[in-house]
Amino acid sequence: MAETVDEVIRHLEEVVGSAALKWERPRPNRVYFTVARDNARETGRRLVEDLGARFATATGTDIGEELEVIYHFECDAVGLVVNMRVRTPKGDPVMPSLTPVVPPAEWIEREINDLLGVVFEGHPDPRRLILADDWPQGVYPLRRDQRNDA
Amino acid sequence: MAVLDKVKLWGLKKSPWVYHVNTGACNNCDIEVLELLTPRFDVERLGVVLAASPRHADALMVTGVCTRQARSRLQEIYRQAAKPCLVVCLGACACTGGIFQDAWHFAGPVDEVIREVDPDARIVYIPGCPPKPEAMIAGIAKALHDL
Repeated sequence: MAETVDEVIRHLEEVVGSAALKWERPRPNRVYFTVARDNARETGRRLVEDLGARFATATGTDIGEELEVIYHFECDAVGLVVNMRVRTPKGDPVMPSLTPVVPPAEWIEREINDLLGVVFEGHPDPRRLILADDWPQGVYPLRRDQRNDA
Repeated sequence: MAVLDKVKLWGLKKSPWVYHVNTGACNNCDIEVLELLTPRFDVERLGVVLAASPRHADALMVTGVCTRQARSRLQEIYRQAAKPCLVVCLGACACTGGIFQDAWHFAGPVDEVIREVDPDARIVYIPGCPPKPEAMIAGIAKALHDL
């Protein structure tokens, strides 16, 4: 018999283990957990290789003092969306890149680097992706302290 | 106006070849442009043909908000187009910037960007988000009528 959502979530909790700092389940088929940035890459690898989740995309947000990146994974068999939150302080906006273990994350990490200035350590090709060629270095248009009406 | 210029404008009216430029559209206008080529609207029956190069074009059909990256490319394409040349601003974004007016990547409405290169450019506005195919045909027909 096919797995249910709850069984997949139990499996997920085993896979992620103590790396998760906080769990949330706002809707039956949507799970959020937070990991420290040092654990992000290993947890992302386990989600794909051990849980069999598919990397969908990532979201970057400026949440005030910190920058937050949420990696979205999907378990298509049961329609579950697993979201991994990673936060990094604005003063030191560095986090490990998932790209070496989850290759589809390559372009979205480059885009988040362009727009929010999150530096993904270990990214194989951290070139600018979507900003104009003449865009000044070090200006991140989606940061809240950035005025964009100039 | 010199006789030669009049002849050129007369020639422009008959079968406008259109080069489609996307300066950063969400693709919705482009999908509606595609409708124009389908049997339902079939603008080729009116003599409108898509051109593969701006050098062959009588009109540039510009869709989308003009982004910082696209700005100089659009100007270069306009320089390459054979004159006289119509510039059709298709959709709200190309006409005014639309909802992207205050956005960080916005580099000015298409008409201002073109007028930097050629102050006397002939510019046609077809607003809408996206404009209906009927509106596009009507806009181009009116523009050609007024030449």
